[in-house]
Amino acid sequence: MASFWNRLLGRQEATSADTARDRLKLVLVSDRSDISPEKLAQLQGEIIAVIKRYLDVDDAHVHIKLEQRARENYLVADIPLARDTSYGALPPVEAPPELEPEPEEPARATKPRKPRAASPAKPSASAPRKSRSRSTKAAVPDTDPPAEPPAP
Amino acid sequence: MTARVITITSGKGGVGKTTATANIAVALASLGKKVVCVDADIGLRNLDVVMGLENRIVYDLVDVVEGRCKLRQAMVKDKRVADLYLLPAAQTRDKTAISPQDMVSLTGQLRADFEFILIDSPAGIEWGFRNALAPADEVIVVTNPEVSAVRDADRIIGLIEADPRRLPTSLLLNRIKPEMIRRGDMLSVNDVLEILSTRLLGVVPEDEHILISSNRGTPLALDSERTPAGDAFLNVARRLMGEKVPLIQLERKDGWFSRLTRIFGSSK
Repeated sequence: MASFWNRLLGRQEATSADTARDRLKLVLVSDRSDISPEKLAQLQGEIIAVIKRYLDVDDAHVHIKLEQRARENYLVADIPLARDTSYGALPPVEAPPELEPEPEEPARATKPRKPRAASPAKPSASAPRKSRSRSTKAAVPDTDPPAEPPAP
Repeated sequence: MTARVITITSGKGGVGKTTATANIAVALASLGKKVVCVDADIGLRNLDVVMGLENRIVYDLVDVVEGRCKLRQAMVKDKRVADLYLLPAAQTRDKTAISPQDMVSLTGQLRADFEFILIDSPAGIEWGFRNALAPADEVIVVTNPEVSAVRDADRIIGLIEADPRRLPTSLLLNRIKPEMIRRGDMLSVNDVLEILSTRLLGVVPEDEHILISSNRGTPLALDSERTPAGDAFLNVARRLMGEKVPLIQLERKDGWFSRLTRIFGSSK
């Protein structure tokens, strides 16, 4: 966690312990789930192919990976949708209301530059609001969760 | 009296299973418990030399299983503490000389007379590990803060979790170097715990006294001198007895003052 903040704040290079931890997490995920990186890549391709039948996907930024939380494995998909050009000018940066700065420069909003965080994607009405811009996030437990009622 | 059978295992070799078994056994015995340790590493026995009892072995585990002697005849009493015994492994046989069922019936005969039966498991996940795990009530997984050892510990924990008996499992993190953790060059205790998601039984610092004690065949808890690793193993023994013992403060309080004194070369 500390290393995450260090990197976020640009403080220092990853230490060898950070590298060890990251490598371990990766290798354990494939050890535990018994899926090779190639198979995972194939899975990613197929998932994207299915989603593309319904939505425009920003291929370059798709991340589908196995992740470990406690001793459970999760398949986590982070699939940004391609910008809908017909949607017109993007509204200004979405930020929590208490952090929103005064809109002092109206000229800034009209610039068609890629905003850091845009409004929620149009098609993904059910996407969690916390997710990265224009992306759908899904976390599916790899193993059956104990005694969870079926989704409605 | 009904003994708790605790198997000490690791997957990877060389992480300190045997040292941990010997030191925890001696610590428990020095705290007044009746303890027997069983060396389940048939063909590569070492618990005897670490404990300093190698010259007193007459019979071994395989002799008992194959009926050449009575169980009591094979048990070597450690005369330096009350109620500590070693059941040595055979050195000239291989792991297939005994079966998991043999281990269960053997420990079954010992349960009534002891409070702790510690089983030193061989490395690996094959026959010897199965033998060591079969009679266990609890498992201690020993690991080191390095990628290969943690990976193997994860494999072992996975195998124990898959066992229908749902054995309580705890982690003993051995050979920690606080200075390297501080520099960011060693996985921290929290890193390892986060990855393995297992209850922590204890943390043992890297300590030269361990090698010295195994040179001499005198486990640290037998020594009157206090050592970092010896204290850590004593704490582990206390925790096994149900006491709440906080972890040894491995990292010095690293405030601005101590950092300043280090910068200016103070020998604090």
